[in-house]
Amino acid sequence: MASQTQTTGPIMALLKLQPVMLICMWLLLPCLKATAAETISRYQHPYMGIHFGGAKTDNDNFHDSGSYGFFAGLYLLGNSSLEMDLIKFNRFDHKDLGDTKVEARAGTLSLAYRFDLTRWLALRPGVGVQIWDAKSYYLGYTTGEDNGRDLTANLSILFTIKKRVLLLIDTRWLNNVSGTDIWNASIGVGVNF
Amino acid sequence: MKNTTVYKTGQNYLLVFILLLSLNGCGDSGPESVPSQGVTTESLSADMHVSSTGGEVVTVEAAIRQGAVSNGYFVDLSTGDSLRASSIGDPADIRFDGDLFGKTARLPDWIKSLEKGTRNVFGHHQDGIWYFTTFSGTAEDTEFTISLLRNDQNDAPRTTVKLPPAYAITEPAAGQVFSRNSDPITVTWSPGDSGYVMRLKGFVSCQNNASGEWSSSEIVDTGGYVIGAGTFNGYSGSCSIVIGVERFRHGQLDPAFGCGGKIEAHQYRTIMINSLD
Repeated sequence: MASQTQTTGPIMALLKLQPVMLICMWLLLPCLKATAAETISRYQHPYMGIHFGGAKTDNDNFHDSGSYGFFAGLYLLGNSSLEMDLIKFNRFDHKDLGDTKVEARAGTLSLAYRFDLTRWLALRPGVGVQIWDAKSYYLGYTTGEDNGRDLTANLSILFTIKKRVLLLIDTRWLNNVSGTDIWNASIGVGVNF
Repeated sequence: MKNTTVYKTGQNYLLVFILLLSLNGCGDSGPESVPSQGVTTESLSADMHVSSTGGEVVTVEAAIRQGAVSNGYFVDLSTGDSLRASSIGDPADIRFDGDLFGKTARLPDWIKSLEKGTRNVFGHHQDGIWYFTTFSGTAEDTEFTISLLRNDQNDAPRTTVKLPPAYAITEPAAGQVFSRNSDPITVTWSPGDSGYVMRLKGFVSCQNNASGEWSSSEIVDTGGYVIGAGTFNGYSGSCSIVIGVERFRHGQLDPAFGCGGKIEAHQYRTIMINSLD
């Protein structure tokens, strides 16, 4: 478990940048539209990809978890897109009680908008809904199963290479997954079709 | 020639007998300790106790022995082996309905790892390696489950017992003075419950530094017991006597302990009286 915490550590650090990124985006917003219109070559094709990273909960009794997932999106109007994301969290181990963990996964559906900063760099915030399910374990026994729906929001930094290859750094907030908020940070790779 | 054959045959039987004894592993071993690494659970016994002295705290104590519970080697748990106690019953029966993170986070309130320590009964030290933990706020009839978890051997996850009902000693009064030679000591407690077995003990400590211990046989719980006059003879001068009353209940030992053992839950109460010749 210790090694897992170490490997997710740098990724988890990205979570701390999320407020900074949001503030920067808000400050730059007025000038972004003008510069983007002048500099970018618009691409509004369907996209899909995979991501992996780390996650932490608001409940301090659990270690961080690894995560991986699949995302896909479809542009609806201009830079607005409908995006789905399937995320599997490896496991959140209890810090004080071995063989005790909660596993969770979520599927999200968000409306996102891409703010083009340059020809190859963009920010894409999104808000939407998530459906989640979770299972808890003690000593290998299943102690509970739960599922539900709630809100989610995310912010992606997009790097586009030759209009096709998509690299992203994403931070996501999942509200109230079986009693706790989950913060997910991931890096991903995808393609614009 | 015939004598030699008989001698060698006998020698072989003896070797086989000794080998079988060593394979069984439940023989007498003495009070020393051994590390648990490499020792099979089938060659272990357990001596486990859940006890309350009337307050909010319940203590869980366990000793694991290689061999018989009466005199096997005390087992020192190696890294990867551990003892856990649960006050929410069998781990297989734990069920949470929603808020899995919140409820799982609270499991350490009900499930605790036992740590190495010592054991005292009525204030008297018990030999050997003991593991213990405490719970607070547990009610009578709470079921405790003690689990031995092994790294590379079979687990013994379900040794269970229920805490017997609480009671209070109603007689004698603390500090009451008795004559050891001529006064019977009537001990009563309430509520009595004929479904249980009781044990009484007396620990004598005199001003002249003499001390001793007395135990009753196991008795049916009728709410009282009379310690006969003269029971504490053999001492002189002023002595204090701690009367210990114990209501206990046997539990169910996990069958994975190949050498058996016992699990008991106790409600201990004590009162100190004074005595003269």
